[in-house]
Amino acid sequence: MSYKKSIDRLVVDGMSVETLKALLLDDLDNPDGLLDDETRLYLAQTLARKKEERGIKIPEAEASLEQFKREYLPYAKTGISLYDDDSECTDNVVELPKKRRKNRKTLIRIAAVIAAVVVLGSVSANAMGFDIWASLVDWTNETFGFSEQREKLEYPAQLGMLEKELMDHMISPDGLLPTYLPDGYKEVDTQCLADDTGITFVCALSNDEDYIVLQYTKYTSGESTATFEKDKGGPDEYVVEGITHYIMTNTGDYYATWMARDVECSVSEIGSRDELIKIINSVYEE
Amino acid sequence: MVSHFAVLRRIRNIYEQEVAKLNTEQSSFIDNLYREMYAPLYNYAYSALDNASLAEEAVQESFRIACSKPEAVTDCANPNGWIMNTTKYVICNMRRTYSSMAKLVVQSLSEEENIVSLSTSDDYSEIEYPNLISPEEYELIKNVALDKRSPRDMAKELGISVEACKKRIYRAKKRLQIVLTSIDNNCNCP
Repeated sequence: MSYKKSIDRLVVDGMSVETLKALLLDDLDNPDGLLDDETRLYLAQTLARKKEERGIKIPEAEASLEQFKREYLPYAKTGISLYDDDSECTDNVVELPKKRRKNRKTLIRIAAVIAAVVVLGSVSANAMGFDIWASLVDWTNETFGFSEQREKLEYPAQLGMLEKELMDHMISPDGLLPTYLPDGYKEVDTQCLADDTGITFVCALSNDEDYIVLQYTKYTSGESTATFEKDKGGPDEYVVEGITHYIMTNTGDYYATWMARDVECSVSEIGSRDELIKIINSVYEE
Repeated sequence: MVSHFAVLRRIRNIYEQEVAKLNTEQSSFIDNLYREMYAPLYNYAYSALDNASLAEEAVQESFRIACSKPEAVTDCANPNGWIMNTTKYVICNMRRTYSSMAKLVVQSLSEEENIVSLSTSDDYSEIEYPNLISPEEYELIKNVALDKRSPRDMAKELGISVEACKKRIYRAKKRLQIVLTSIDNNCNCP
């Protein structure tokens, strides 16, 4: 039967700093611990007292407490711990409440009108030898045109709701949504937020440790009015298909923002620049 | 229009709870415990880790754990003993984590074909990163594992928060582990 050592306090008081340290280290190195809790505590308190008597300075407790409140306390329940048994993120996962989707504007009347135009238009178009149904109808609120039919892109399943929201609002997801997402991310929430200045589509994805946010905003005025917070440095410009993507970091995570057609796009909370580039490139995959 | 980061903050609140909700009594309790136990815990951690920054990290991590379950400390018969034991386990885990990161770095350097260049100097800082993960990630792991830099120190150097730095270290370590495991598996294939 193992037992933990209890050392008389008088004996501890007489120990040198080196002996106190050695005992505490032995206790630490032993998987079951050598000392009982009271003794361990008293040894540490005595060590602190003796080092102070020797004039050995340590940081100020008050300054340390201030820093703790600033850097660690905000993440007490959800922050990442690097030291939990080989750094597996432990029970800091927050249960996510399901957000009710806001009611979206339905454009049934507009869709019906456009459908009628397409049907009527197909008669004259066919007469001119142009097979209207072989072409995709591609429309925005302002323009109406055709694009050559191509194979429908397969977007990740997690973006299904986002794709649908865009389509419901007559915004083609082509050239907006990525076809690549890092492994393990599931859709948590997709929202559509509208006001006088325009409409924003947001999709949040999570792998239980981190999250990724995709956001698309179509401004009524056609011009972006957004401002973006960022860390020092940047933004870097990354050009694909003639479109400039601005890459920055904010609190250490990477994000990119760009204008595609008249939609302001952004992908945020990406852990590495390489991964962000992969996501951006996949937007233009054919 | 809702600003980009207002949206992100709203979404972030879904995932992150607000600043650890300590009531006034708990907050006061933790503050007093911190002041009372800082010196013993710091000296204890310093003896074990032999590094001022890591000792500070150990103390703050211990109190972070305390704040994640404040009732465990406030209702405990011996809060001083509780935080002392917590610090002991934090130190053990820190040692293990740093050791495993150092092993990863050593393993990565043993994959010769991945070393971009090697200087004749014995100083490991001259060794170029292996072509396994991004240079920034590898530099981070190297600084933490070999130079025993704490997330606090690295965060200050990079100009990011401690939490953001921890995320980067965690991700970089994961990526290196995955890459090295994959190389290992490929080598073992007949």
